Formats: sequence, structure tokens, C-alpha cells
Amino acid sequence: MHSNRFAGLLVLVALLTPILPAQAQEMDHSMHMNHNMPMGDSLVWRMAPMDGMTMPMMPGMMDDIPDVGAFLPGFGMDVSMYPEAKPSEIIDMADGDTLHMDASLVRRTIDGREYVMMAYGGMYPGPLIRADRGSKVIVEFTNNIDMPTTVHWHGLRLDNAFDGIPGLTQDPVETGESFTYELKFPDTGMYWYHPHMREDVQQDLGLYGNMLVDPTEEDYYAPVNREVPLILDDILVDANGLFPYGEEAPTHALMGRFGNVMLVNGISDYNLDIQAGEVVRFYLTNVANTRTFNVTFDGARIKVIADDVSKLEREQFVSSVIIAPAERYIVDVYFDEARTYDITNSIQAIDHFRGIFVPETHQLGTVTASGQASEDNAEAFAEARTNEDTIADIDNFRRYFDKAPDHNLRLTIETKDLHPMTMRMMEVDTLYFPPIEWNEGMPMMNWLSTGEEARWTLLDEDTGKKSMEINWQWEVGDKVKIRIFNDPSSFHPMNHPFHVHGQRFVITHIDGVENRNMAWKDTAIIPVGSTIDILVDVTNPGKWMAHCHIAEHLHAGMMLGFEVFEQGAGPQAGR
Amino acid sequence: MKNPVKARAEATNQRFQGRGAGRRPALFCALAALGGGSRLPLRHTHVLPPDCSSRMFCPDMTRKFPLYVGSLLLLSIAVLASPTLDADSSPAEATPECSLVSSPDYYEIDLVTTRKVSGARLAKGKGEVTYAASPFGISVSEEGSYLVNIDVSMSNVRLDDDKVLVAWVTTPQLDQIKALGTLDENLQVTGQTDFNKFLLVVTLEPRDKEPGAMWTGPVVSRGMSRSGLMHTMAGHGPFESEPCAVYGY
Repeated sequence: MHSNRFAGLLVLVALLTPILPAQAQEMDHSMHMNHNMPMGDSLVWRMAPMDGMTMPMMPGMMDDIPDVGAFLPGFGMDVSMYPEAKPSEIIDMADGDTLHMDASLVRRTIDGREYVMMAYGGMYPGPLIRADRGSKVIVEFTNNIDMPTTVHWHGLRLDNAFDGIPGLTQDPVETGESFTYELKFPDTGMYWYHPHMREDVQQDLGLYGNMLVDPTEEDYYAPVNREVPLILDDILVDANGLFPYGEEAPTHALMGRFGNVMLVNGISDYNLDIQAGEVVRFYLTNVANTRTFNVTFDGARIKVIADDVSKLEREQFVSSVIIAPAERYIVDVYFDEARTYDITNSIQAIDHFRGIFVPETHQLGTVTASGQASEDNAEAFAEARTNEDTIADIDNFRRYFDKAPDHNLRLTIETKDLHPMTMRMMEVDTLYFPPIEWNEGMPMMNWLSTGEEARWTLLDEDTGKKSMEINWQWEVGDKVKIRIFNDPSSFHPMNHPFHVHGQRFVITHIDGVENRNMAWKDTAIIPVGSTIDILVDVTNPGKWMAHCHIAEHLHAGMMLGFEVFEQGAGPQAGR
Repeated sequence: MKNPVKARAEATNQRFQGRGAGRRPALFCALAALGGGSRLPLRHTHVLPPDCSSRMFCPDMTRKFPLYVGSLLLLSIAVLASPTLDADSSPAEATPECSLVSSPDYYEIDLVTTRKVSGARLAKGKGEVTYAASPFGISVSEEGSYLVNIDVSMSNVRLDDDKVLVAWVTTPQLDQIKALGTLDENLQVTGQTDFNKFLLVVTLEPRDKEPGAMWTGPVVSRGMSRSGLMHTMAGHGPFESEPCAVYGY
């Protein structure tokens, strides 16, 4: 019996011996001990970047890693084997045209370092699809990445079958498979497309692109010297490259994954050359997983002219542009002087350790103005137009603005088995949660939280149903008022950009104050403690989703369903 | 940490369960008004009884009418409205049109009297905080500081004819002071600030002088912004490494 045990031990040692040298090599990383044991070529966790964290590492947390595996696309492969991604191109599409587009793994260079990332059409950002309002186009999509995916056409009021929601409107597109999307463009404006499976990974790695829907009316916008799309993003990297994602579930579930490198149109050193005196129309889109930006143009005057789905009732001069994940704003900016203007994200970050606000400025890019503009649009810029067409459109809905809400939604969170120190810290630090999390104040706790432990929740206060238990039922023609309250007494309140698929809405009230300059939207930011009333114009039949557009929150459960029936065909019909 | 406002609302709501969803909102408003004060339960709560399918926020009658008049009026509405409500109709359709008129509880500032000023020793007050108008739903300055409107209101104050109340905001370090304005005959004023953390201060000032760079009279009431409650962990507790006084709190 003793000899059997000894033999067994020898076998065990023999099996473990090839692993031990690798383990010793891995032990060199960071402050961690007791990593996941590397098995062959599998990826191991390393300490997440703690940029700007002033909090001392709490006892008991130094050795911890998220309770999910680590994942990176193309891990262990030679990065040079992937094709180099190209800068985005504009694809002008006429009514009835077809675009063939894939999602693939590519090689991209950011700040002089190469990464394996993902791209639509081999481009970063994906190709800008440009079409006229009222037209219809086809996109033949092929999945060439190593994960299932779909494409969601954000903000378009298109037919439900092409909304890109796995399990609801289509099956996932597996690797090597294709799907045909039919797009239609009923509303002028800037939209974007992105995956609707593991967005925290695929979207973060570069799967996003714009759709610009041009007006068919004359003089729809004021004249400008040039038009420029700006897609705002960030990405998380460290000395070893891209920081891994959670394999089975997202990490960074509490606050979302903040990046530490800012990107504009996929690059970290964006520059636009113009002539002094030009008025530039920027189409801003925020595709970051979680970061809300406060965009400034170094003193250049800014006029916001349009929101997600329509122009504002009245154009408005602003000092900066606040843009939440998934939102779009169209802004005209007047660069009157010949100089370099910094495009920045200017915020008041929170230092949780010291309990203070700390001003931070992140460089997003530059606009270099020289010479003199050939065409003078300064006078047109100086006028803040009143858009009678938008007002007339919204006039049809004003009688519903003060109706009682049809649905009352509370934004909250449920947790299970979160790290005990996280629980204790959150209990200590509950005196104040800011309206907007502009920065990642607690990077370690954030990184350790997974979508299994933090379940972000949409609570229907009228029925008690939560998240995907909710299936509101409406009919075409309904004007549905939803009151959304971001509960500050929840475990970790945070701002949420709330997105409704397939329909458009206006924000009627914010904290009881009537919104006096409306526009049609598909995504609205809801600060902590605030109550937002939205009125949904229900026009599009089918099964749809509404959800928080922080990628990690979405995949931690913060979504609900609603079904739109044809008029007279809903469950309430005939009552 | 139990939210006291929520707890009070839950207690109020529990009393009204089972009395008919259709009648509930008007009765809520009426009985809340009888309860006195400007804090109608439904205005400051976000908890409903399980069978109440709409969240009603009724206009604050107590600012415009004496309490007993307001109560009588609301009771009359409840009596007159009740027979017209269809018990089978959706509560959302049957309820009167009321708008949300409350600022978020979370950022509301309680003004606490200093008890030092004659005529105002039992004064009550609050600062309701909402975002300045913005096309983005939330308003910040170019540097990222929240730009907020503060609706200041006081009650239980008797002033001499030559005195007024003036509202101010100041940083916790008192290094920046800004006048929000003079409270009117209803003891209300609205102003704006972009201070990250601030104290809201109401002082007694001469009627015949415009507010200057800072107050000259005694402090009647004061309160702290919600953001001002953000405390330093560096100054105490397991991470103490610096004196709390460094951060003024």
C-alpha cells in the first residue's frame, strides 16, 4: 500500500514537472501571487492598470483576480499574420445598393504598438455608410472573427428582423456564416452600427462604424465649410499589450471598462487640418464601453444643432459637449483664429481616497487652423436657428407630455458573492455618488467585479418584474411615457445611458423640470438620483429591447424586452 | 443604510393599500396635504404600493395656499373625482394630469437653523438642486463642473421690515463666495452655481443694500451639498495617512 502511494506521488510529480518552470516564469508578473495556473498557452490574469488610483491597495485584495477566465483574440499567435487595418472610408450608397462587409481580426498600430483587434471591412472605424433619407440598402455580412456575433444598426427605425439581436430577431452569426441585413433610413442624422454579442469585447476591439443619413430637404442644416465624423473611444492597455477581457462573463461589471488610451476615429493622435475662419460640422459618436465625455474645442465656439435622431427644436451655443456611450451629437464649431486647437475631454475626476474633485484633461486630438477660409460662414454660424420642422413634428406629441407614466422603471443593482472588501468599501463610501462617473475611481474593485456577481437591474415598479422578465406590450400608434428613476440608494448607483431599439423618443422632463429644447433621441443619459420622463413614439412593430448601453452593464443583465403589435392587434385590443 | 425618506413613504403607502387603485392618487395628495408641510410623501419617494400603477406627483399646494385651504381643496378634488373613475380602467388613464415637480431627493440640501437669529430660531429651509438647462440632459462647465440651479425656500421666519434673507453658496474652505440672491416675499430665491462642493448659507442682511462679495449679517441657516459629504478616507479609518483637517472635513 505504501509503495502504491509512493508510485502515485511519483506520477503526480512527473505530470506537474513540465508546468513548474512556466509557473515560475509567470510568477514574475506584478504583485500577484497564486495566479491561475497557466496550462499550455492559456492566458493568465495580470494586475489591471491602476492609472491614477490613489487608494492604497486593500489588504486581502492584492492576490485577487476576477472569478472568470482571461481572454484576448489571437492570443499566442504572431500578430504579423493578421492583415493591417486601414483607415475608414466613406461608402456612398444609393437606394437598393448592396454592401458586402465582414468582421475580421486585424492588426492595428496604436501609439507605436501593434495589437490584434477586430474590424468591419478591414477598417478602423468600420466603413462610413452614407445614404439619403428614405432609401433602403442591403448589407451582406460575414463573420470572420473567432466568436459568434451579430450587427445592430443603432438608432435606425428599421424592420425588426434586421435589428441584430441574438435570440430575439435572429440567431447568432457563427464564424464563417453570413447574414443579410436590410437597412432603411427614415430619419436624417448620424447613426452607428456595432455587435450585439459580447459588446464589451467586440465593440471595444474596434467593431463599430457610422451611418450618415443625408437630408433630402434644401437648407436642412446651415452651411459650413466641411463636415467631419468624430468617433470617440478609449481602450485599456498596459506594458504587455491589450488588457484581457473576461472569457465567460465581463469583468469591470460595476463601472464598466474604462480605457486609458483615448481614441478618435481609432487613433490616439488625431489631427484635422483646416483653414482659419472655417466652420466645421462634427458628427460626434461615443462608442466607448462606459466613458462619458465632456468634449471641448479649446475655446472655439460650439453650437449644437442635432441630437441622436433629429435636429434640436432650437440650435444652442454651449461651452462643451457632454456625450454618453451610444449617443450622437451634431455640432458646428467656429475656428476663427489661425492656431492649433486642442480637442479635449475635460472632467472633474473623483479621488475617492481623498474625497475630492480633481480636474483632469485628456487630449483627444487637435484641429490645426492656418491660412484663411475661402468661404465665410461666420454669419450663418452666429445664428442659432429655430427648427420649425422639428417643432412641428414634436407638436403632435405635446398633449401627451404631462400624462401619467405608463411604466415606471427603477435602475438598480443586485449583487452576489462580490469580494468582501468591495462590499465593505461600498458600505463605507456611500455618502456621495456623483451624477456621472467621469473616471474610474476604484479600478481594482471594478476589475474584480464580473457580470456574474453584479447584476444590473431594470425594475418595473408597477409589476415587480426585473430586466428580461419585463415584456411590455404596445401597439403601433401608442405614445408611451416611461418614467426612469436612477436609484441613489442602490448598492452602487451610477449613470446609465438608456437606449430603446427601433423607436424614437423625446425627453419630456428631467427631475420635474420640463425639457424646453427637445429633439428625437434613441439614447438618454440618466444621472444618479435623477428621474427622467421619456415619451416613446411607437411606430415599429416587432420584438425589441431597451437597455443600458454601458457594455458591461448590458451583459450583466440591464435589459428588458418590449413587443409592438400592429394597431388593434395587441393583447389590450378590444378591451 | 435605510433611506429615511423611503421608510416614511413606505409607512404612508402601507396605510393606503387596498382602497382602490383608481382613487388612490387623489387621496394620496389630499391626505399628504393634511399631513402638513411641503413634503408631500409622493413627491419625495420612489416607492409605490404594489398595486399602484402610476407614480403621481401633485402640485405643491402648500406654497400657494394656507395649509387648511389646501387640504380642503384637495379633499374636494378627491370627493368630486372619485365617482368619475372607472374601476376597470387603467389607472394611468384615470388619474388627473400631474407633473413631476420634485427635484431629486438625493441632492436636496436641508437648511439647518443656527438658532441665533431672532425671528428665525425655528426656521426651516431647503435647497432643491436641479441641473441648469442643457441640450444634454445634464449641464457642466467647460472644465466639467456640474452647473446646477438651486431653489432656496425658507419658512417659519419673521423678519423686521428693514431686513431680508440672502442666500449664498461658498466652498467648504470659504475661499469662494457667491450670492445666489435675495429671498422674495415668499422666502424663495433661485440661483446657480458650479462649485463642486458647496455650503448653502442664508444670512440676515439689510434690505436697502445689494448683496456684496460676502455676507455681512448673521447666518440664519446653512446646509451642505450632497457632494460636500464626500469625505476623505485618507484622513481617518484604516487608510489614515493625513489629518482630516487638510480637506476641511
